[in-house]
Amino acid sequence: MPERLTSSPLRLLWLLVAGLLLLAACGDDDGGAQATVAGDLPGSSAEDAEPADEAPRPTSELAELIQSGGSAATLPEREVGPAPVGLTFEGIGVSLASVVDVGVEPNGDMEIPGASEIGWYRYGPTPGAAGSSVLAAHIAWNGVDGVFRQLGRAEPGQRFTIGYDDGTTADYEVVAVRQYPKDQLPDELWSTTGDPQVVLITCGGSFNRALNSYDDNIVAYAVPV
Amino acid sequence: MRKFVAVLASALLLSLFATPANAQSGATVMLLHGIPGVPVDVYVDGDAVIEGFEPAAMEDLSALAGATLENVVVVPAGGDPETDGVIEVASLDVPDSGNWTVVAHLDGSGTPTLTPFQNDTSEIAAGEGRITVRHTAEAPAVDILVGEDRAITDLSNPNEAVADLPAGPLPASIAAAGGDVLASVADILGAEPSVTAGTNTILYAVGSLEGETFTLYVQAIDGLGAAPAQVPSGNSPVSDAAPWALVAAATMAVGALALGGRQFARTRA
Repeated sequence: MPERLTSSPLRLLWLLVAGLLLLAACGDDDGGAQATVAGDLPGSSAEDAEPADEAPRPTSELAELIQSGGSAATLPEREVGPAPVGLTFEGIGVSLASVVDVGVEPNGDMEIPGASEIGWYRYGPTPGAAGSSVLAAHIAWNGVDGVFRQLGRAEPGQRFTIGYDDGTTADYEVVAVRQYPKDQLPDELWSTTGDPQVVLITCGGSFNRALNSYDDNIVAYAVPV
Repeated sequence: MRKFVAVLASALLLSLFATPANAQSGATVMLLHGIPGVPVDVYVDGDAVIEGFEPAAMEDLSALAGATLENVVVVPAGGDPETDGVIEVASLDVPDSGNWTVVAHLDGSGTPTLTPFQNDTSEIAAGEGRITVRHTAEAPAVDILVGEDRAITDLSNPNEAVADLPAGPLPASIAAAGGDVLASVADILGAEPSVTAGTNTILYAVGSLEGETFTLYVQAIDGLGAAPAQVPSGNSPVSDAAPWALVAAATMAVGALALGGRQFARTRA
């Protein structure tokens, strides 16, 4: 009994020390940012099978193996859907931030707008459409805190709202938060197929003064509510 | 703009058709009906396998990848394969790997034929799309203009040209090789085509110029886009680390207290 009781303060002390050590390891004087790894990544979705219904087909065995492949008569319909223009995520202190569409820089990096705006990767799906829609913003830019300054604090279960250029809005719920080295972002973040997900991306980890950049990216995965 | 590269398609690609060992493979093979105005039936070894095959329609032959189809006969819809064949192929090897479109089309002199084209499904740089142009029409060689620029010259039946371009509108038109503009692609298709990021947009010139059935068909293969290299979303330190440290420390302290408290409670119970 007594040793059990004394173990509690010891454990507390150990946890605090461990916590401080962890802080010392993660945080640095340059103000790095860590994301809590939390939640489960959205499951990889099953292939969306194209049902091929057609006019009556011949009955030979060979014929049964042949499926309709669609029509080449016209330009394919690009159902981009409404573009995102605004985002509110109270949980990380973002209120009605404007969203602009962005592409890639000449060096192949994703374009990121200034400190106060969020970039939507226009070569991927719009939020809510099939695939992974990417919204990225700075944690800090040119000495100013960016709109995603607090993205690392996002937690599973929190919700945010996206406004679209057709006046509609849609809610999304964070299901997971991850931190990746900058050059190891999963390809799935850019998928154009599969169940709809929205990923919010900013920088995190240690700030490298020599490169003027952070070592990591913080990614919050969300799904439509 | 990158240099357009014209590729001699038909003869070269036919020679690549190794006789496949079995029909289970990862190939994607589409059959495109590229002869405007004439619905057809397709027979293989006397059996109708596709009936009422409409111009511009595509049939997915992927399940037959690697198979050899004997005695392929294409007849006008309702025709008799014994007597009405417009295309007769003694043996057609369906490719067993890669992504292919086999096009039923008119050759340069107006005779129906089958030409297999291998589709370039290699990864496309982030922000770019691929344009493939295939001359499968009864028409002389053509130039393809993008804006005022003759981007593709002297493309003849049954050849193709392929290029990766920045995503965006594609103000393309078709001209006789070295000659006058025949039509804009937008006029033919009813809408301006675009270079779509991550997509190989394949334009087929089909029909007969003299017979006034000349038009364009379009096939799109998407999901080829590379991801951006990185997401550079911070170029300066955050204003101060204090909120972070405080939140983290508080979380740890609360966690520690909760753990300790729980253990205490259990011990007492």
